[in-house]
Amino acid sequence: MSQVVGIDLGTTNSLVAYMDGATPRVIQGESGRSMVPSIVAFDQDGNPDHTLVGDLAKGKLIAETGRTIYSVKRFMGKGREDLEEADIKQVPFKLVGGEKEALRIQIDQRLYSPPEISAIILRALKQRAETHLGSEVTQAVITVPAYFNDSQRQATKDAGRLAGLDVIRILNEPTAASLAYGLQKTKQGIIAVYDLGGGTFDISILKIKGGIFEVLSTNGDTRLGGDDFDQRIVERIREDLLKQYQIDLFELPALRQEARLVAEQVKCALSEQSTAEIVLSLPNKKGIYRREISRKEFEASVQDLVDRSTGPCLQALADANLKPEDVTEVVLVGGSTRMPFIKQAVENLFHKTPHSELDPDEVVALGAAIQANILSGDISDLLLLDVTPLSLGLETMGGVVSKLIPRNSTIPTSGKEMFSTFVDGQKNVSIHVVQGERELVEDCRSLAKFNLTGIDPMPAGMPRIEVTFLIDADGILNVKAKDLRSGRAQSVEVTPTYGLSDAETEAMISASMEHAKEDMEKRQRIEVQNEAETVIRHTEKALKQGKDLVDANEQRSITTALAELKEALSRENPAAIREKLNRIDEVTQSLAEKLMSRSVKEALQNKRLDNI
Amino acid sequence: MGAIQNKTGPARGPFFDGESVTRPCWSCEHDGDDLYNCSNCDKIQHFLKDNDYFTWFGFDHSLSIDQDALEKQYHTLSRKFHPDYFQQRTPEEQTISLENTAQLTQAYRILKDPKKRVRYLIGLIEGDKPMEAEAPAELFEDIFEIQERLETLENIRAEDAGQEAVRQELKNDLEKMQAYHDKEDVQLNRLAVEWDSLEKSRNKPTFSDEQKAHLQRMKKILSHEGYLDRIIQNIQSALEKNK
Repeated sequence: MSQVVGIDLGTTNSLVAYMDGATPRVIQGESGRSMVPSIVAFDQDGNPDHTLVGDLAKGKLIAETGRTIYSVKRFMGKGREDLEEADIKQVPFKLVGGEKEALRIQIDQRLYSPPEISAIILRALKQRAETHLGSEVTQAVITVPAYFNDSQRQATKDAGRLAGLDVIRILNEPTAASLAYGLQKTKQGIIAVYDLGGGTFDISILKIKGGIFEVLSTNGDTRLGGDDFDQRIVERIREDLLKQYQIDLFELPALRQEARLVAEQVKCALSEQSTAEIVLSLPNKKGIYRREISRKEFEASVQDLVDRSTGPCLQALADANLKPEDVTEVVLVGGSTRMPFIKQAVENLFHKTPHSELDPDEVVALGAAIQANILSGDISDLLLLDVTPLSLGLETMGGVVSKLIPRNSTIPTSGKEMFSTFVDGQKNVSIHVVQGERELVEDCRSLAKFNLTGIDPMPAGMPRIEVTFLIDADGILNVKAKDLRSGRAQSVEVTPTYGLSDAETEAMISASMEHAKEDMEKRQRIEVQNEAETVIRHTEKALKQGKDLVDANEQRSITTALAELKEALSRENPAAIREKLNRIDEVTQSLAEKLMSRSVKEALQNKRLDNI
Repeated sequence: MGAIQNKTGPARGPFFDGESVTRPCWSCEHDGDDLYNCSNCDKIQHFLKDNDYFTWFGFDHSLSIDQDALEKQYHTLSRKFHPDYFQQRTPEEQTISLENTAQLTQAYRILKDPKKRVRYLIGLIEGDKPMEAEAPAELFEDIFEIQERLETLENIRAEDAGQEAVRQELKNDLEKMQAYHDKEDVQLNRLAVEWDSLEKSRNKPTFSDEQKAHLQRMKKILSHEGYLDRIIQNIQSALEKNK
């Protein structure tokens, strides 16, 4: 069996690791660097053969501003309304997408979904691993921030599929880090993992005991990371340039990009030394901008960002029912934890010196490689028990959320709920699933609408459909429904609010294949034909059974509709079949209701109460 | 979001009928009553449908549970069922592993929490009826006054005289409600201890009438507490909001 790799798909950098015997190792590229910048650069024709990834793409950030995509992780699984104006202004590439639609990135005349961009990065990592291992890599564990919601996880999984990887697990980054520490250092105790990456912040509290890593609670902020710290320096530069040169940085994408890169370097330098110099050469022969910045000055400008991580830490402790003293070890993860005052803040919070023995940039990928080996069956003494970061709820009357699975529930986990109909003869029931901690649907995040279809028409309130919501080990929601009267599985149609539908992902995967479109059409045709055949059978049966219940007019319109449907079916025209199916639906409505009420009456007379 | 494969076993009697239940193994059709793995082919099995959370963990229906034993058993069962260990197995085994683990984590969440544990036990015997929050009769008058004070506080401005007085009254109300809640807790604990001794001396397969009566009393307390929790929360947030 081929090796399963562990991938840390980061906001700014990505890594791939594998298990070399019993030791997890990050795979380096030709240059000897283990980190691949999460950047993709397209050429003006969008020719995939000319698309650059990583360090090469980073080199295009300034020259090809609008075609070079970075920090795409910030947009994974999101819709337009998830973003603030500032998020959109901050990046030099164009984001498009309407209400309740997954975001797309527009480059020249082409649109890319965030998973497609991520897939390009994943493909590069896959290739890197294949070159190093000398064999094909088809399976991977990919990490995500613990506080990622369902759509963001799903989008990450989609990216893997698009890259030709079977994503056997979506793993939380802090949990992965704890695994790396657990394998090499911490064997027992309560540990807090403080993970401040390029774009996201997570805090997880775990209990390690006898090889079992049980996450007690997790919290975080999916829009707080190193990028925001860089931004503060950029703002400082912008103010200066406005005052001194009357140049608005935000109107010059290339210069702005350069300022961002300089800011990142300056931030890193300030972790080592007490002052650093910002140097930026200005366009149009305006000379060179220089400015000295001290660590103190920088720290003061980002104090609020550091403070923003405190709330989630305290909440995670409270949710785990622990006090800071109960935590035996604190582990730092993510490049941003190299900043000395972050270390200090964490120390103040938990009253102990945090660990950073393992490289904070690599530790997540190392943990992912360990989990990959657990899943391959090579390691059996370690087991991760992770949690879902957000409560799962259902929309009820008046837009109120009824919570079904509370946050910090160990996954996999499930919740059941009973559904029925409100109107006589109702055949569909729609269920709206949301994620979040607030009371009102409008304050939570819409995950998906589930449509229970094909319910046998019955008087209102009679159908009993049990719906099981299951959050799997990836933290992704699965839904199944069962009709309790018939014991049959009930079909469920899913419309994800954001992200790609299964059909969309399929379509993208086969986009390069010639027959993709034909395949889709063929499948749709077969589906509608099957449905038509079933409906014809049922209608004919109902007509026989309910002869005495319909008048001549009704009888005629049903037989006509039936004949038309058969005709459309023989022509194999999906659109026409669909239209006639709807027609039959209309004309048989009253017959179905009458038949049902008769069978209910009969049942009552026969006192077959157990069947009701 | 794929649908999970569905698998249902044949219908069985109630969980507490005391008879041993068997099921044919889904894989080799060997008929067994093995809790977790088929004794013939060793394939993972669905939890027996009508066993309950207590039974899965190997406990009787006592309300006091040794937390260490509970955790240990949870870890043991997790090691048996967790999807991590079934990644390389057949889809059927993966599905059972996923569904069993999902149920197991839920069972652990409920058994770990004393209140949820009582509520679950009541549900086992009464069926899954939602439990209504109900005000204790002897507090009717207090609750009426609290509602009025909450309304007053809502309509009074911070600089108005009298706001502080209302706040103080509500603080007293809060203490009173919390004290009543504590008193109910003591009562609940006493009933749970009594339930346990009844359970230990039970020699019939079904719960005795006395046990059922105990559960009814515990149910009453829980519905009172549910109501008190809400009113306590209302007072707290009103005091917080109208500072």
